[in-house]
Amino acid sequence: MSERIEKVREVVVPGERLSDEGARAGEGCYRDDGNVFSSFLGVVERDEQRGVRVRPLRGKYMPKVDDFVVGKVIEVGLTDWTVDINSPYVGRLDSRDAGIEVDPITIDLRRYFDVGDYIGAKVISFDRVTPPSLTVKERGLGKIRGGIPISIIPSRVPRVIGKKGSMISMLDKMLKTKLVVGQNGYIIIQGGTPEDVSFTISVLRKIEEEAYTYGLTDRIKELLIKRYGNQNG
Amino acid sequence: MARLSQEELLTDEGIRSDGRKIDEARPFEVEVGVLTQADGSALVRQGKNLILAGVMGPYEAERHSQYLDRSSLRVRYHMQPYSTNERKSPTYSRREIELSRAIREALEPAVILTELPRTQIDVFVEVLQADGGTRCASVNAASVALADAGIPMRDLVTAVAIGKVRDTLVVDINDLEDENGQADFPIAMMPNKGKITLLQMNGLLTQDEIKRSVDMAKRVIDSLYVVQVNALKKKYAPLAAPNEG
Repeated sequence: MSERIEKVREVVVPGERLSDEGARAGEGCYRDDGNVFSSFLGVVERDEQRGVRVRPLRGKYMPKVDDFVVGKVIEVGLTDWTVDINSPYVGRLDSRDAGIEVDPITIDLRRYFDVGDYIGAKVISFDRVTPPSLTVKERGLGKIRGGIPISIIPSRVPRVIGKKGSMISMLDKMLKTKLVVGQNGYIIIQGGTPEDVSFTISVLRKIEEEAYTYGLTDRIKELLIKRYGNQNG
Repeated sequence: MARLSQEELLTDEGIRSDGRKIDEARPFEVEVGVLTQADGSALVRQGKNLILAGVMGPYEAERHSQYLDRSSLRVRYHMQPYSTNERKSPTYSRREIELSRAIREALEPAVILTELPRTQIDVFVEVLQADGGTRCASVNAASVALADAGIPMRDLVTAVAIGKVRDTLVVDINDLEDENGQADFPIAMMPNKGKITLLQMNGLLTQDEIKRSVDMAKRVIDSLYVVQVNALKKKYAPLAAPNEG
């Protein structure tokens, strides 16, 4: 292990100086007087091209355009739905973005999504002044039927997905359940026996808990093999 | 309680009523994430002060209290009835309203409020035990709790009260020195920026004493800041450290 890698997973506090050689201030950082400082309690990542960035250890989901999110319908309007997306900003799904011709007199939107329904949606716009707009018009989006919802810290979702999807594809292959993972930290666990579901939850909690440790994928793999045996020989 | 004379507050040998030297701060401890339901929390011990700060948010603010360009930070400072040696009425007093505002204004420059328009961040500070300089200890607890909640900040905020007893400046005054001393001078700073975010004064200080007080405060703040940072890192370091042999 080189010293450089040791540095990469360092925990920093807000206001901590990360760089003085005029590196680019990425996400979670700000520039002041030519220096780059962390603006979060988080983990530093240094990248030659993208500069320095800090991944927050805690905190709520900040909507980003094109993110896939799992949301819970909390209000049904005449022409839109209000959707909880685990963020300070509640999402708004317009009926046009659900592919429905609007005629509030004849159409009751509850027929499509009712309060309490979970939906898989994509963020189409967000400017922090108006609520983030969602769409369910693409393939693979829409109502999520059945399953058990859990929520994890949003900044740790990338670890559940893994580098180029390595973790999630392993989980999909080896777990007896199916996962719908939203970037906002809401995850729906579908299928499997109650034991499979509770095992899945324990695996997800472990990933959340140990999100910033080395060799996590290997340890999770071990855990899965111990439980279900080695399925791919 | 009888008033203490200046000689009782500071002996000829330069020893204060609780045995400290004039430039010696009280023991300072910070524990992060003591509450599991709050979004962020911290428990601070500064001498006999015991202060719990809990943060909720950011969440979408009510229409009437939301700003379109920034988040609104709210602070509620409250003292428990058992926090002082005479029972304190649990109702919200004038003094608590004033201190809530002072603490909020000490924290506001450090929080990057413009990152979170239309939202609200609530900080609740409970004084479980008071021993002078509670506003400073509250600022110390609240800034750590805000960082723990994952709220974007320019820097932490660290505070200490400088006082004057027997015509001598002393750091981190306790309740006795606050009650009987000649001045109480609380100062909060963003340690990495060297910027002052809170400066109040009760009593009398000369211009020169004010300058020296700020320098003394800066030294203490730097040492308290290290404790705050270590507490935050200790809480989360296991997450980042490689844990296989």
